[in-house]
Amino acid sequence: MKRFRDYALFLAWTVSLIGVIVSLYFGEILQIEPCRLCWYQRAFLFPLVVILGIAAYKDDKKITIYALPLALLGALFALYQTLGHWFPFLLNSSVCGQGKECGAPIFFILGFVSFPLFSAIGFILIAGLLFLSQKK
Amino acid sequence: MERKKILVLSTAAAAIFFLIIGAVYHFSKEPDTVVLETIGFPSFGNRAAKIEVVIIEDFRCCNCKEFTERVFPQIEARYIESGQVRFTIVPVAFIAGSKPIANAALDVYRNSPERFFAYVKEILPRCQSNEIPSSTLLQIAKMVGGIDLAQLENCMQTNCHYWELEKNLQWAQAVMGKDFGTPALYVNGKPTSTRSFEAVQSRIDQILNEVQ
Repeated sequence: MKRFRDYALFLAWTVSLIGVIVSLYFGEILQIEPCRLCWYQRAFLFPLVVILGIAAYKDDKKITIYALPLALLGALFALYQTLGHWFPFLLNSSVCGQGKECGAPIFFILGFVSFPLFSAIGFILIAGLLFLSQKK
Repeated sequence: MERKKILVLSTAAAAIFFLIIGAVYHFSKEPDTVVLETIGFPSFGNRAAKIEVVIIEDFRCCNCKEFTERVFPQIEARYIESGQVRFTIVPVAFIAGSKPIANAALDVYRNSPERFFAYVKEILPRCQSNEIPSSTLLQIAKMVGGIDLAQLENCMQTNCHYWELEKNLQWAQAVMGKDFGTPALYVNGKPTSTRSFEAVQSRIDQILNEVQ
């Protein structure tokens, strides 16, 4: 467990890195326009990959206090969007515009797993790993 | 150097490497050409043109509005007016509240085709609003002018083009499969980005060169 804790910061950064790569791949390479809620999630994710990368390199665990709010706010938006896919009355066009993923998911795996759910899991994982990295 | 630092640097390098490989692979791959049967859809320009640009759009989709406002006028000025390109629109209605709008737009095309774009250009900027009531659709038609308002009102009351919209949606879903979304643009059946005029221009010029 101690070894896992030692690498928690690195793992949190790896999760954010995977998120950024997937986001850039869909947005810039496949050219799928991100919706408004997706942009909010990007706004919280993109700084994480930089600050967690530097923190993992320097093994600076004090970063948690800066990174944790970003991860939690990102998770909040992702969870809201996920719930909006399951219960569409929660989303309206003034909140999410008409991007493809916002109200109408690009994909559903097993009928309920969508892109924002992956995003929510990623943010929660980052928050959990940051929390873990603080434990003595 | 410490082990952790090496791990961070090598992971970052691997991430950048995979992103570049992904981009190179994607952009070097030619998209598959699909055969599009477009008879019956709203169409403009030279019917004998060797190039057909097909756009599939929902009039409540804001990215469609972006395309119509930013990219379409350049295609029109450069290729449609010169007779090199025929432009076909496949209106679909899958976003909540878009059926009455597409129904009205189709009716305008059927009865006053020359007023279609003027009408659509007035409708698209309202893509963010929740619903556009029939009275507003009629008001827009009145403002645009040259549209048979009595016929349009009758069509809106009877949803006269809903069957056509259903057919269009099935057609578009069959063409795009799992990649279904709007706007979707095809130049002689080749999927092309709608984000910039340059992307469309490059595809059209490439086909024009091949044809010549």
